[in-house]
Parts: sequence; structure tokens; C-alpha cells
Amino acid sequence: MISKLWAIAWKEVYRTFTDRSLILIMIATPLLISTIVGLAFGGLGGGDVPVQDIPVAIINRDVGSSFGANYGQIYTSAFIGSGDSTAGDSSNSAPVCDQVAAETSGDNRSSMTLDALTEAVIFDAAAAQSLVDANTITVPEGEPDSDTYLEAAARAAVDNGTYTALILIPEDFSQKMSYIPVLHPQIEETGVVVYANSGRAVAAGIIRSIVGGITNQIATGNIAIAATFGQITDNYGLATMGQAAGSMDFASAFACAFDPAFTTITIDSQSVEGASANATGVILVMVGSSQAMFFALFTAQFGVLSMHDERRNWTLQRLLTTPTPRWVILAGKLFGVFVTVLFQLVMLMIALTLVGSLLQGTFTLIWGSNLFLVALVLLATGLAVSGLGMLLAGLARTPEQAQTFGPVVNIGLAVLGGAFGFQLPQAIAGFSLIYWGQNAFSQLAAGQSDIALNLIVLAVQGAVMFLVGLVLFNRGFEAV
Amino acid sequence: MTNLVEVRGLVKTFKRRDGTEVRAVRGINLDIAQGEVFSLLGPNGAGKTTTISMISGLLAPTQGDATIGGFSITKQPMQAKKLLGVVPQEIALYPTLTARQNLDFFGKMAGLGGKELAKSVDEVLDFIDLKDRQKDRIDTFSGGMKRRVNIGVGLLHKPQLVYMDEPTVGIDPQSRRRILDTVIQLRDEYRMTVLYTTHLMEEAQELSNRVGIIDHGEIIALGTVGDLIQQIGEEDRLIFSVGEQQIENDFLQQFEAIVGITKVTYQSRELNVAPGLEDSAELVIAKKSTGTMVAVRSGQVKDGEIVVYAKRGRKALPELLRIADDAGVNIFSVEVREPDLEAVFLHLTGRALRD
Repeated sequence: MISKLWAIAWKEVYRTFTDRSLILIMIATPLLISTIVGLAFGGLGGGDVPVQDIPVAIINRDVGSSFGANYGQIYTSAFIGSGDSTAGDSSNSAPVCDQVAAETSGDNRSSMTLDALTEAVIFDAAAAQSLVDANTITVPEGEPDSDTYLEAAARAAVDNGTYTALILIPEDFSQKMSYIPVLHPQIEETGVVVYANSGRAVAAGIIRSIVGGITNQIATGNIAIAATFGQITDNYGLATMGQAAGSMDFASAFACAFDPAFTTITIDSQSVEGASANATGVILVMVGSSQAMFFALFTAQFGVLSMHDERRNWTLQRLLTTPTPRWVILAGKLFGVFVTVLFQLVMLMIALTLVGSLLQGTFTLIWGSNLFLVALVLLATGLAVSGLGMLLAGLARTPEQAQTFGPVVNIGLAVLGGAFGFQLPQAIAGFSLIYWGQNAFSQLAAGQSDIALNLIVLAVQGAVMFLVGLVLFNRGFEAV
Repeated sequence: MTNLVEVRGLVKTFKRRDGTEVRAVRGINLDIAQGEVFSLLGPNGAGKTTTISMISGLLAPTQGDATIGGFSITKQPMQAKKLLGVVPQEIALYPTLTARQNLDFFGKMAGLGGKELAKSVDEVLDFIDLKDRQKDRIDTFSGGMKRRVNIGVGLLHKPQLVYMDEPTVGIDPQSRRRILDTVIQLRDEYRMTVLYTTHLMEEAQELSNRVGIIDHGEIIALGTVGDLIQQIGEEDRLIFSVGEQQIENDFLQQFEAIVGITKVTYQSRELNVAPGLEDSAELVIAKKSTGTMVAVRSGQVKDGEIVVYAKRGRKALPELLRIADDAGVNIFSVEVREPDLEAVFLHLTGRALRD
């Protein structure tokens, strides 16, 4: 039975990929769109960072943790640089840590800033007032120094395009991020808000990726530290830990562990530099992945609907008269659609990698170096895309009906998911599988690996749609 | 002779959307012997396709069962299907695949694999005489060549029963002859059992060992062609075209009085203008059974036909012509139709097969 299932699936894939017109729609069109956008925003040449000077406003309200660490400064130093009078000021670091940092990573902090990529500013009352005075923004009445006024002004400035994005770091960010099981056992949620202009999806996406990367790595670093402390406490007891805490060596090491300057150097170097150099790749990944998924939706739908063509041409009836169970025929067909979608996505990813490498002048894995996670996202995306195709084919009473409302659904999902160049708020975009796929690919491209939620959403969404569609479609199939 | 196919009490009921039921097949019983060509004839909507769809496993019977080689189509469908090869009326092939790829694919679906599959495909390509075109896509083939591949697919796994649904539809006479020869070859050389459906009586008459006539979901006649003709009384039909002449009953009675003549009928039909042109001052051209073209208005011209049923029609013909001559009735043409399957069908169903 398995050999028959493979034969049916292979026949599907072969027929699809030997049809020139289908290749044109499935591969060439999304590749062309992505390349044009990549060229428009990414430019040519490896050294250039053509998406540059992205205007970003930062409001850092972080007051630091009880251990003296201020992670908010990591963002300001990354976006504005150490030379800036406000952000990344080394005076905020423990003196001992400067020495440690210099020893471990060299004095390379300034080279890791996003100066070339962004034009970031600390958004304060003076900045807000100057925009209000210039009638650039309108802000509701309020105390200019208040947090709400400042935030409203920054958001208005993003809305009118003065800034592409606002990075808002909450007051208790460092405190909540400093999770130590013994000393600070509560687990509390926190997060950095990135408020982006929906009309600048590509640039906003880059900022979001970088912020996500930094946050993720701060959290990763803290988890490692927390685990170390947990291990010490478990092995030697709280008393030993207390004694150790009283020593000078421990105190300096402890302070440095939470020192922003130190953590910036140790955990941020890759993402910051990576994001700068890989801007073209990020654009290609963002545009390419959403376009690939958008076109794959059509592939999946037409693939499932081709069952109706088989019925019309009598090949389905002929198959049903062979000693092959119905479920094998249906499963083979659907597996074929799934494999076709995967092939389409893989071919596009390879083609976009080549385009990205050409644009940057050197071979670059624009989808990120974690190929295992890329493959997982690919599989989850393929499942979600095929699942939607199955659901639409199952809901439609006739193939004509599916051909009418299928494209409407696809375009709707593409709009929601940001495939057409503007990004909607996540609360809305989250309804689109394209958003989850694109977000996962973008995160991987930016060197992050926190895509568990994306994988779960895509896989669960895909599996549910697939099963419901299968049940509905099978009713009609039984009537053949 | 052993029966390969046994059909017992096969019933199929469909439910309409309004909840009412339609009984498409009403309890069919049928045996098809090993090695025979059995033709199933019936007008459209008679239940022929539904019956065959049940035998070939496409539809589940509402009641009853059928066996192929002793395997029940309801209880052992996979075993039964292994013995069955299907040649549908439609060209059930993938047009963008080559002939060989189509044969390979359907061969795998029939359960073949490896060397056995490759050997079978080669044999079938030889049999359908398309080895030199095996690497060409089906959509580059002529209608006749597609039909041959369509047949070839049904023969790949050397089935004991081949079901052929009107395999000669829409092809040129040369290709048609080739397909009929193929069927004869399957029966005579390969000893295959063929279940054949056709609209063409001469095909059924030439190929079939036995014929079943189905109407309103029931088998109304079953037997050899000779048996069926015998069943309707072996009568010739003499058809006299008399145009628009008035035919009196006395004249018809003179015909009936001749020895060997069993029945005489007279039919006259009006040559009507097309609907919507009734009030038109223009005349329209109509063709009479005499072959002449006439300009008519509605109800103006009658075209008459006398049909004489006789045991030996040709022998009675001179006498019939003499009587007509004496009565001053002009006979424009005479057609002698000896009893055939068409007559049997018409006799039993009251309809021509193509109706």
C-alpha cells in the first residue's frame, strides 16, 4: 500500500513540476517579486547596507534591577552607540566590568552598534516638544514630562512617519528579567514594545527582528546565570552561597554577570553585527517567505481541487477500480500536494539564497544558520498551507465555488500577514498563517531561535484545518 | 462452462435531494461465463452504467451482491478488483505523462512492480502497437492512439475480466476496426472474458457470444443474438415509402392477405415547419422519406410509410409490389430489414438504442 501511496504522490509532484505554466506561477513569480523588492531595498554589493538610517525612537524607562543591572541600556547602546551621551554610557557599568569586558571581547562595542542601519534617538520630553512645536504631531493634552504624554507623542511620531518604530522599554524590565531562583524566585512576564509604522513593513521588520534578538539573548544569558546559581545552591546549600556572596571575587563576578556593558559584548555581538550585514538577507527572507507562502496557498488549493479534474477525466474512477483502497488514493493525493508545497517552498528558499548571495557578493545563508529549525518551520508551514487548501476544498460544494472564494481567502491572509508590504498589529496579523511563517523565518534569519510559538501555531492550525477539510472532502469523495 | 461473473439480486437506490428515492437497478441476476464476450445493451438511463459501476467496485450495491472469480465485490473487493481490468469510455489517462509513464503508474496501482511491471508494460505497448511512441506525451496522440493506450491500461495486469465501455466512440473507422479486432483477439487468443457495452448493434452482434438487454433497471432479455431474434419471431420488416398519398384500409388488408405476412402498419407524419415560424409567410425546406426535398408550411405535406412484417419478406416482395401497382399506389422506395439486434431492442424496449 505504501508503494502505491508513494506512486500517487510522486505522480502529483511530477505532473506539477513538469508543467511550465505552473512553474511560472509557483516559482518564477514569487521569486521575481521578492528579487525586485530585494533589489529595491537591499541594493547590490556586499559591503553596502542600503536599508540605512532607519529612524527609530527609544523610550527607556528601565530603572534597573535590585542587583544594579540595567538591560534597557543594552538597547540604547546597540541602537545609538557608546559614543552617545545618553545610551551605552560606560559610566553606568561597574568599573571592574570594563576590565572584564575588555579582556573577554576586546574593545569592539562601538563597531557593534547599528549606527549605519538606524538613526536612533532617545525620545524625551524635549524631542516630543519640538515635534509638537513644529506641528509635526498632535498629542492630547497632558503633562509633557509624564510617561503617557511621552509615549503618545512617540506613537504619533511613528504614525506620521517621523520614526519607523518606537522601542519602549518598561520601568521594571531589568527587575523582571533578573530571574534568580534563590534570590528572586518569582517568574514575571515582561517585554519590550516595538511600535512600528505599518507602511514601512520591511524596515519595521528589521527593527523588530533586532529587538527580538537582543531580548532573546538577554533572556538566554540570564537563564544560564540562573541555572548556575541554582546549581551552586543545590550542591553547596544556601549558606555556602551566602558566604560566597560576601567575597569580593564573587561580588565582582556577580555584578559583571548582570552588567549591561558586559552582557552587550558577550551576547549581542552576533545579532547586532549579523543584522547590520544581513539587511538584504532579512528583506529577502521577509518578502520571500511571505510571497512563497502566498503562492503556496494557491498550489495547495489547486492541488487538492485537482481531485475534481481527476473525477471529470475519469482517472479517479479508473483508480478506484484498481485494487487500491480509497484512503490510499486520497492520502497519496494529499501527500503529493504536501510534498509539492514543500518542494515549492524549498526551491524558492534556495533561489532566494542565491539571489541574496549575489546581492551581497558572497554566499550567505539568508535563512539563518540553524538549518534544523528552518526545516521545522518549513514542515509546519507546509502543513498549514496544505491544511488550508484541504479545508477550502472540503468546504466548497463545487470546484468552481472553491476557485472563486479560494483566492479571496488567500489574498485576505496575505494582507493580514503582511505579504503586501504593510504590517498590521500582531493581534490582527496573528490570524494569518503567513504572519506566523514569515515571523518564524525572519527570526531565524536574524539568528534567533525562539520560534516555538510559531511552530505550534502553524502545526496546530495546519493539522486542525487538514482534518476538518479531510472529513468534509471525504464525504464528497465517498459519493464517487 | 464456468461462470467468471455471477450477479445476484443487485439493487441500487439513490436518494434525491428532496428525500425521495430512485431505484436505478431493480434486482439484476446475471452470469458471465469464462472466456465469453458479453454485451450489455440498454438505452440511456436504463441502469446499465449503475450495474457495471457496482460490478467494478465504483458503487456499493444497496442490496444483492456480485462475484468475480468467486470473490464478492462487497466482502472481498480488493481480490475481486485484481481480476478486473477497466477500459472506460473516457480517455482516462494523464495527458501530460507519456504513454509509458501512464502504463507504469496504472500498472503499479494494479499491484505490479519491478521487472514484472516493466515486462507487462513492454508487452502491452507491443500489443497496442505503440512501442515507438512510448516516450511521447498522451496529449500529442491522435484519438485512436489514445484509445489504444486506454485499452492497454486495462490489460496491464492480465485481468480475467475486462470491462470495456463503448471503446470505439469518436474514432475513425480504421481505428474502430483495430479495436474490434483487439477484442476478438482478447477472447480467442488470450481467453479473456469481456464485458462490453456499446450503442452500435453491429458491434455487439459481431463480437458478442451473449447479449443482455437492460431497461428500467431490469434485464429484459438475455441470450445469444440468435436466441433473441428467435424470441421476437424472426420476422423481416419491409418498409415501403409512399410519400403523401392517401392510403386506404382496403389496400392494407390486401397486403395482410398474402401468405407469410403477419402484420401491416401504416404511419403518416406531417412535415412541420420549425417552431416559431408557423406564421411565417416563407416556406421551409423539409426532407421527405422518399428522399425528395419539398417546401412546406405546417401540416401541408404528409410523409407515409407502410411497414410489413413477414417471415420471409423478400419472397413476398414481388406480390406486394404488384398489388400496389394495381391499386395505383406509387412506391418510392422499399427497404428490407432482416431481423437483427436493433429490431430485438426496438421490439423489447419500444425505443431505438440511441433514443
